[in-house]
Amino acid sequence: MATLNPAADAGARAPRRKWTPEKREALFGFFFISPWIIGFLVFTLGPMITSLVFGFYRTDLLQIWEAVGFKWFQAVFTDVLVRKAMFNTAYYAFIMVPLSTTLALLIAVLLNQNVKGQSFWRTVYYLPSVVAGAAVAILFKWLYQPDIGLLNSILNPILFRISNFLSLETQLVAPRWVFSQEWAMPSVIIMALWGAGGAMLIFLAGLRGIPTALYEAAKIDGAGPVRQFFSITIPLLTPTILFNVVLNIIASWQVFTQVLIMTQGGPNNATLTMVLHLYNTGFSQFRFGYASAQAWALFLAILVFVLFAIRTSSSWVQYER
Amino acid sequence: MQKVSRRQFIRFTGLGAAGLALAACAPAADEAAVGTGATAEVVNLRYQSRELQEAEGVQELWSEFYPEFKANNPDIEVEFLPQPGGVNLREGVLAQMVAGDAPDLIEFCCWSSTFFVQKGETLNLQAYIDRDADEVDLDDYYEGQFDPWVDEQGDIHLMPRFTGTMALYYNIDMFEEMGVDTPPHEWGAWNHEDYVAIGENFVSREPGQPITWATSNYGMNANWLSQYWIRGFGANMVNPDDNRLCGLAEPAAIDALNYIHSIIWDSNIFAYGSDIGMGVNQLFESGRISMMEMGPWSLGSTMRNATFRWDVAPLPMGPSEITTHQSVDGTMIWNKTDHPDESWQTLKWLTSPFYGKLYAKWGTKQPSRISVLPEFQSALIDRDERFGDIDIDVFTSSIAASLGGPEEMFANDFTCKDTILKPAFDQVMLLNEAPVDLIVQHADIVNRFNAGEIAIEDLGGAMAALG
Repeated sequence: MATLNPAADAGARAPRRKWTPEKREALFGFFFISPWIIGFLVFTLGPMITSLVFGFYRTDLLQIWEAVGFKWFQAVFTDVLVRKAMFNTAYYAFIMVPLSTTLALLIAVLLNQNVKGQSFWRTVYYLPSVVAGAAVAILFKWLYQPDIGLLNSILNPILFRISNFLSLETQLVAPRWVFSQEWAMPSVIIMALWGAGGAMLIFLAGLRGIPTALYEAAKIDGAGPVRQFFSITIPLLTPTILFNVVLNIIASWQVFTQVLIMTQGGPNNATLTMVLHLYNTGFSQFRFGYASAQAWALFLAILVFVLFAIRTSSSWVQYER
Repeated sequence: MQKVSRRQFIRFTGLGAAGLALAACAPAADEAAVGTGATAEVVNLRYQSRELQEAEGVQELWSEFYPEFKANNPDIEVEFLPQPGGVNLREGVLAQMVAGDAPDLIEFCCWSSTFFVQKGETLNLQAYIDRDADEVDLDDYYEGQFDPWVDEQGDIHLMPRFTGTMALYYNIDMFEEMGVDTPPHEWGAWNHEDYVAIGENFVSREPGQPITWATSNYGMNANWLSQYWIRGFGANMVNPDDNRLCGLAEPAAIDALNYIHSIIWDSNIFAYGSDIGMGVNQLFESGRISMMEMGPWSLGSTMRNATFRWDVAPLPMGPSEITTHQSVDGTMIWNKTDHPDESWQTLKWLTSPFYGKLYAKWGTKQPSRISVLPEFQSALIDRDERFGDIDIDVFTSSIAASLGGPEEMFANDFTCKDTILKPAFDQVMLLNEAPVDLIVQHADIVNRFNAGEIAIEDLGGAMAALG
């Protein structure tokens, strides 16, 4: 019963609030995840919102702040250079995603066999993934040099002999790689494939998760290795494939280091990608408003393709039940 | 021992974390004041270096320079910040400027230095220069030294770090092997046609044989490396009277562009595109080219890596003028520094003859001051006696005679050079897929862009319309 004397009420100790085990667990969960949440808010969500605001300004972040409304967001749809960069990036992504996923899967399947020195081979194939992108790009610049690079030093003599053997009127010559508008982007893609080891490792983990009993049963039923691969390995690996495809889509649309170091977007903008273009717009021209609008256009493009991959996954990804 | 409950532990941990966070946000105490108790007026400055080629040497330089500086300036503490590498310097400094925490003194090269002047982030030094005219002694620098760093009023905003003259490094062993006379060592004693005639001796493109060219540089594109050739033909990439205008449509500039194209694609003496292939230093050091157009900043690396006898000679003349370039490497004071006077005092030391000699020795950089130039070679010999065999006078004599000039900068320099002109240079010079006329058409886009007739978002369309 409530007393009319407040002093008496204040003196009485309020009933202690009990934390249920679930609440306590949730509290600890939030406590332990808080570094990530703080990092996400400060270093990801915060800058994203800030860049959205920048998109409404003509600004160099130093002296100029002029509101321009939706001008930059409209311009990204009409700017021929943005279109070119978007096309180049899509070209890279549409070839890179299936190619690198397939390559990583094939290597993983090979390395999943009981071969001698398995750990050694796994390390060898994973090693390129730990080499810094800048170092790889510099290395490939040398390999690709059309006149004295290692690649054409091997290819040209071979093509020379083939041309002679076939008595061709025009001698076959190796591509000029990054010194050619047609071959510059394929050169970047070939170089990027060198780093397929990361996805390979994830596939290897996925392959380890497939019960061996399924293969034994299939063998008893007379299924050969090819049938086993397409009827057991691939279906049960589809969640891993989806994961790798999503990661690959995001990484491919953000390709930057390789082109910055190897080609600077050239020749004649043949390797100008979206991130390189918005980097140039922002950090070289100091047009941060327009660069922010370009970043949002890129974000939306990535979002559309990732959502497409996820939405269609229900028709091809099989989860174990 | 008293037990601590989990609740108490979390509470204490939270309080501790909050305390630490508050402590981190609190303004830092004056280190000097804390350290000595008696020098509360000591000013702390940060000095951002941009030394790429001789980073270790510059550390040695600093250990020699700083005690002397400190003895004469006990009230100034300077923190030396080494070059972070690549393009990170400009990005990093920009981020620091936006955050209000940029270093007090910052070194930049080339268009970045001019860019920050145009952006209004540099301290106007003119009043200090006028006040300390005797110490600064502007007459002790070559004629065009300050051109890239003046504002619209003609006031100076940066002071030079060093001044690198472009010259021609050549491989004596290769010249002797081919029985070719080495280039003359006087400026103006040979020209662009002699260059081709000498170069043709070294070109080899036989199937099955190692390819050799004669010469190269970082890559003649819409940049300063093409500019000195264009000046040699009597024209300019950037109109000297109005930096909004491109001079590449002038007949002399077209002649220069045709010459550049011919040495790449007709006589094959010039290994083009080393900027997206093997670096020019590697081409020279590996004997793929017998000559390279290069500044004194490569003296140290060439001395370390070359396994043959080499020397330097002046670049050949163009049909109109001597072709060379004086590098644009300077130090700015950030205009939002809390200590402009102390920063200027430090900058005076960084441009003093004392510092210039140390920089020559440890950084193998050519001094900017004409009065220090005679000591360049002896400073280099101090570092490595083999520099006694190199004709360093080739570099220094060009400054004393005010030959060549600094990089020509457009208004909106990066956009004009990289976004508008470079794709045209790529098609003409690198790919040989278009005539020189394409560069002239792109030059017109530069003019229209700088006149405000084409917006940034319409540049791609304007270039695409040229086909």
